Amino acid sequence: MAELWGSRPSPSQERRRIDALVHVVLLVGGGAAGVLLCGAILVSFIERRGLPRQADGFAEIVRSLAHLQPAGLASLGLVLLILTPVARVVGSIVAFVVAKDLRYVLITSLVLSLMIASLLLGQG
Amino acid sequence: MLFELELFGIAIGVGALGGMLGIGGGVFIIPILTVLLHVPIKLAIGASLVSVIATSSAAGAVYAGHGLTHSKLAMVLEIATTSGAIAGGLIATSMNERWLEGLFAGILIVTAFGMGRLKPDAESSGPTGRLDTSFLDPVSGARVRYGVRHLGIGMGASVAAGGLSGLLGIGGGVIKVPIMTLVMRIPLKAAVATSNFMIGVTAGTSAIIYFSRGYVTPYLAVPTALGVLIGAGIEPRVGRRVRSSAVKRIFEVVLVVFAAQMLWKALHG
Repeated sequence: MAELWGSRPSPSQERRRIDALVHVVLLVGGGAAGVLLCGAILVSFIERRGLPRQADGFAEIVRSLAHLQPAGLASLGLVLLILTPVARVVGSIVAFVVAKDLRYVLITSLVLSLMIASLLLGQG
Repeated sequence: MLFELELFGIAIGVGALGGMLGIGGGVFIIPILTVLLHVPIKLAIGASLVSVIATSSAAGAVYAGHGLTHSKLAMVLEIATTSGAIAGGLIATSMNERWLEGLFAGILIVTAFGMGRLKPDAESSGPTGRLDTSFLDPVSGARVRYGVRHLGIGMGASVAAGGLSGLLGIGGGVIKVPIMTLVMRIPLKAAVATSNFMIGVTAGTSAIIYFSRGYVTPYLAVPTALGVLIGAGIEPRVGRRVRSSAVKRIFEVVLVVFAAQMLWKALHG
């Protein structure tokens, strides 16, 4: 965390700061997913019924959340968890942009576009 | 509800066991789900992929501070693993379940015989002029400098590792770590950290396909992911001394028994 602050950054310090930032984003994303999944188990336990058999799509997740139903919590937690690696790749792109490393900005962007491709191909 | 609790307990054990044996939990959780709990294999793979992402993210959070992960090498190889993961995920979700069970039996045998064969002191190459980097060894405190050899072979193996991850829901570290240490000649600690980073991105790519097609179900995926994560977290505290070859031999036998059961299921339904 201390790497997030400080004065007069050198290029390598700058890179480490971004790494630390990505690290924090990961912890927050993963932590939020964990809390949601635990919450889903708790709610389903209190209501004395099992976890849902079917995950919701994005539209349904928003709708369930509005009604505080366990289906929404579990699905949202799972979606957050599945998208954590995507966030990690996006963070790496930012890090390479800051380091002005064009070659790796392109390589990492290719990885991101493959992940997006799986989202599009999965629907079909 | 009882089923979820039962699965949660099993997953904690599997997470600890996987860490202890140095292999991912998927090779245990998928046979347990399909053979013992009679869960359809595609749902078992979906649950396994989610738990692979959870453990990879948690491990990444720990490793990140050490600078062990070679993130440039990881990104280059990720082009190959994500391509493989997409192909594997698309094929598996539209494939006959019995074929998947048969394939899984095969990978169980490979894992059983590959387990424990990897020597931790495989020579690393030193700087090679390609993707050279360094890290501070957390144990010795010395700075280890190294480069990468045979990137082409590494890319090929990564397509296969990604394909297996998408097809069968395992992390693929069982392929990547030996290739990185023995062929690409990078130090084991860096290979394990880099492989862990890649496993999350690879599993994430195929998990997106499984989720979109309805094979990630909360009642299986939630207790499995949380359980494996907790199990993998407590393992470093309890598992350090349990590394004797006798223990490994026992679990090799367990894997072979699982393989036989999966094969039986594949042949007789």
